[in-house]
Amino acid sequence: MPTDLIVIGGGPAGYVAALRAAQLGAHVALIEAGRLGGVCLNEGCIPTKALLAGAEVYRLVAEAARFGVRAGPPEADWPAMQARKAEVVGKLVGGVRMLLERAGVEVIAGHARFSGPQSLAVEGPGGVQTLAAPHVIVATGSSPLRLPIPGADLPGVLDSSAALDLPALPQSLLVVGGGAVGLELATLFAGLGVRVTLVEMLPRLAPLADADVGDALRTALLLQGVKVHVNTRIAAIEPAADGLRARLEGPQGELSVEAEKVLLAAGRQPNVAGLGLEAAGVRFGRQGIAVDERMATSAGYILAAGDVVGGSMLAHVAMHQGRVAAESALGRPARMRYEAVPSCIFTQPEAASVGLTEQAAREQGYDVRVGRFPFNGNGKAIAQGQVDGFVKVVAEARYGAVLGVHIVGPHASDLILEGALGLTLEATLDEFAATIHPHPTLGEAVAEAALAALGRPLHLPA
Amino acid sequence: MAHEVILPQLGETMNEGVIVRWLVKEGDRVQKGDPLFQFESDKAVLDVEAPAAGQVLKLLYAEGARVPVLSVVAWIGEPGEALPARPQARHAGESPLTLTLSPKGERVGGRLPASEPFGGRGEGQPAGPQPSPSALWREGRREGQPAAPQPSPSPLWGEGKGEGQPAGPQPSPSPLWGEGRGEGQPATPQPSPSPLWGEGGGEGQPAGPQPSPSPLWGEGRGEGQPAAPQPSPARTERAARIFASPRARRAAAQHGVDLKAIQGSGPGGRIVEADVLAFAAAQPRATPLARKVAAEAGVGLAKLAGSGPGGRITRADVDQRRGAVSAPPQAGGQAVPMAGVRARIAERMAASARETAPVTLTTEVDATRLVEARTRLKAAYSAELGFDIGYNDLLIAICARALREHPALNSRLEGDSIRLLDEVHVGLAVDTERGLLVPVVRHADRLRLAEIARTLRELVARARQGQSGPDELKGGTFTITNLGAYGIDAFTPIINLPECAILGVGRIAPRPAVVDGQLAVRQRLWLSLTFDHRLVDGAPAARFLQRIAQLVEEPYLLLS
Repeated sequence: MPTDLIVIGGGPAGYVAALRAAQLGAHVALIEAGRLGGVCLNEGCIPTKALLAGAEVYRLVAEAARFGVRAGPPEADWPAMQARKAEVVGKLVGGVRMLLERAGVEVIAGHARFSGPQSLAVEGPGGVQTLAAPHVIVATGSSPLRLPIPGADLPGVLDSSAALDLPALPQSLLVVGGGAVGLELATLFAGLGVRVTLVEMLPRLAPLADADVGDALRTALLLQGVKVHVNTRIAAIEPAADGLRARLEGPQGELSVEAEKVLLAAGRQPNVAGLGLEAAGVRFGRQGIAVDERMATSAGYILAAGDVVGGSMLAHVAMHQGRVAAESALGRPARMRYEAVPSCIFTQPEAASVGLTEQAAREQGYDVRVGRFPFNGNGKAIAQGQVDGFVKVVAEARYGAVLGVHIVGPHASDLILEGALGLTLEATLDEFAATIHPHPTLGEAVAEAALAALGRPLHLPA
Repeated sequence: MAHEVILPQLGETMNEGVIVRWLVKEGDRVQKGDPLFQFESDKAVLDVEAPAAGQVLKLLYAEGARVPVLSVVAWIGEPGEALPARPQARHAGESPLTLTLSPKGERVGGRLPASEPFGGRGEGQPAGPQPSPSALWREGRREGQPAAPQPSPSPLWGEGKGEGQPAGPQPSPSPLWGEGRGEGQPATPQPSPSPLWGEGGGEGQPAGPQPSPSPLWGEGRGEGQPAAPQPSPARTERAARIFASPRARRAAAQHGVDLKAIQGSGPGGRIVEADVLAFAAAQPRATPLARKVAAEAGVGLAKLAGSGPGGRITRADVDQRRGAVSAPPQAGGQAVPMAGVRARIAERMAASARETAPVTLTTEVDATRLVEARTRLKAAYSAELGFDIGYNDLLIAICARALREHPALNSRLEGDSIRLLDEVHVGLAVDTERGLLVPVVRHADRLRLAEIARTLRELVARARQGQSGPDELKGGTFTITNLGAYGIDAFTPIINLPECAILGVGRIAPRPAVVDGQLAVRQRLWLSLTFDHRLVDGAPAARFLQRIAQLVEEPYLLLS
């Protein structure tokens, strides 16, 4: 049977593209050099969340007395957590394999490379084979960005994947980078009793998020005992008696921080090298492969999806891009929209956003209305003892169009869905306020924030 | 002299009341102070007493009706008295006025209530000074600015000359694109309350009991909704009041339908439940934001293709249709808000380009005799008229005659049927500082040339000054646009909806022509007729243009 579509990469973009194409009746081959599921399943989102679940239990046990439960002081069993993590990952990777098999996708192990405009050489365990198909979707993902600083290659300097695979908990950890990955790993290790210092080059943590979110997360980290240095860059890493010493340059001048391990979490770069993209006539740069809204590259029959096209590099975006790429490849009208892409940071408490930040909305010239509701005014949050955080709704005045929703607080990553659906359907404040929110739930805070933006919050003191 | 019975306003926050019960019926005799009806405000149920003794001539609302404060709800007077065409909602704080009716039904001594939609009705518009800073104009709201107070009192429209017209010489009226250019440009433009090309005023308005429920920016494009009153922020709710039955309101709330977008079929245009349900059923799927943007921009959703989830119409789709960019203005260039007349023109032109099936016919005619005729008419009439008769006057007369003879071109599309219009009203496109306006010479086919000329000058002058009367800029059945003064030879005009056709007039210039087999220098003129092929075919349109050409070439035929 001739292959209709070849997908390079079995991560969230690639496997979803393959599944969707198969669903549309195509005969699909998927080439994966490592493990199915990509960074997300194997060394990113999922393992982090598995370990964070352990840290959460640790925290709850430590705070048990607050809920009227007597328990001894908790003790982190890191190897057991690692084992559980491996089990979770294995289960999900097995799930992806099963889905692909059931869908009739041919999974080929190996490294793919364009040998010409229409052909791929796949170097696998059994040698090199040549594949061809009318359409190819490139979904090769991304790798951690290596900072060009002296000492970055010393032992004990880790990227996020290595940090999640540490055989033992370090005594102390320096996290370089205050984006989602740095924040989550700082939360994880600090939550298990590791002394954590976090360094961010920009003035705020989570620099892409709404300023209020960054500020709230900084407070949250400080309360967990994390030392936070903003406006600070790392100049060099050197060996020290108990591990490593990092020389930092901050607003108060130079300082040095010693830590057993240093985590570099300064972003990721698209995997565009070694694919023979030039041979295929695919335009790309350091920011990734250039694609249009159909996810088609400059070589029209080749499409790309996921981290390899750059941008936000989020797994859920990758999955959506994979779906769009598959549909486009098979001649279905599809296009990728980015107006309502939620992003989540799994800190303690969580942070989640969708749409424009207040700052961006103002810069774009909107007449901005902001509604805010704190979780310490929410019954469910108080009942479950998690009152830190807020819901912030950013809207424009003329039509009440909701431009963005920003949440810091318990289950923010789940609560943001209402904002994402609202933005996708172009809801206005009226629809948010008119939607009946069940009581008592954390989601009531979203409705209250919308009411606040309309100038009539019910559960805020006048 | 009939007395108005007004729904009183109890406090500044009260916008409307519900008539709970009538305590009298039409024909009853009442004494001053007799209770007439009970109404319910948001605070209380109260009785309203008769302001004068007399017979109850008319009750304008049914029990249960929701009525804006200061509306006329009934008339008391003597049997057989004539009543005004419709009640007026009053400006808060203004005392009820008694209106005297002239034989033609025009109010000669009235005042304009501030919440009156401009241009809603043809006959019977009040003239004279406007009592309050009228912050109701479209300009103000489109730009999202608080409507600036007008210099008050401002002459509104010209009917009541002498009463409240500003002193001082009127700029000499000159048609725009005729030879009369340069005769003293009229004074400062002024935001005009007038719709650009409203329709539906003038004739045949039902003398319904309700102020017009006209949608502000509703679906009624092409129907020429009167330019809606643009409320100042403080007055928004009251001015935007919509007349709908309680059940209609409930249905609207249930279906998420904006009542502003609905044309009511009930008494006096009141929206009833069936209107809402029919509207909801006919509505395309659109996001809430898209609905709001479309409603405000006056963009109909019906013909839009949706690009959102499940084919929903999104804001981007609406913006695309409207030709606007949703993103806020970028740096560079100067952003001029699409407001007022400009926005209205944009809407109308886009609607015409979108909805009509335009075909333009051009023909070159010999205007030598027209030039001669005009020269002689000028000599004969300028002393009497005080100005020179121009080509536009002649062209209006010519077109009016041709339209009378070719009724197919004097028509408009109304839903599924073509209405051949009884009357010939010819508009002339005029460039004003506020933008393109089209004053209409009504019954042009019945007017003598001198009357046409005089009427046109007055209309143009008022249009230039922003003082056009409510029915002066609408109701046309045909439009002439003359770009001859700019050296334009021929062009493709856009039909002025809901009319069927428009004549583009080029310059008159001496050119070589063959006359009786000889080469001669003649005054030549290009005429461009754009007609809507939905309403009329090419051959009849060509015959119409041929007749115009004939009348231009031999203007004395107008005498026949």
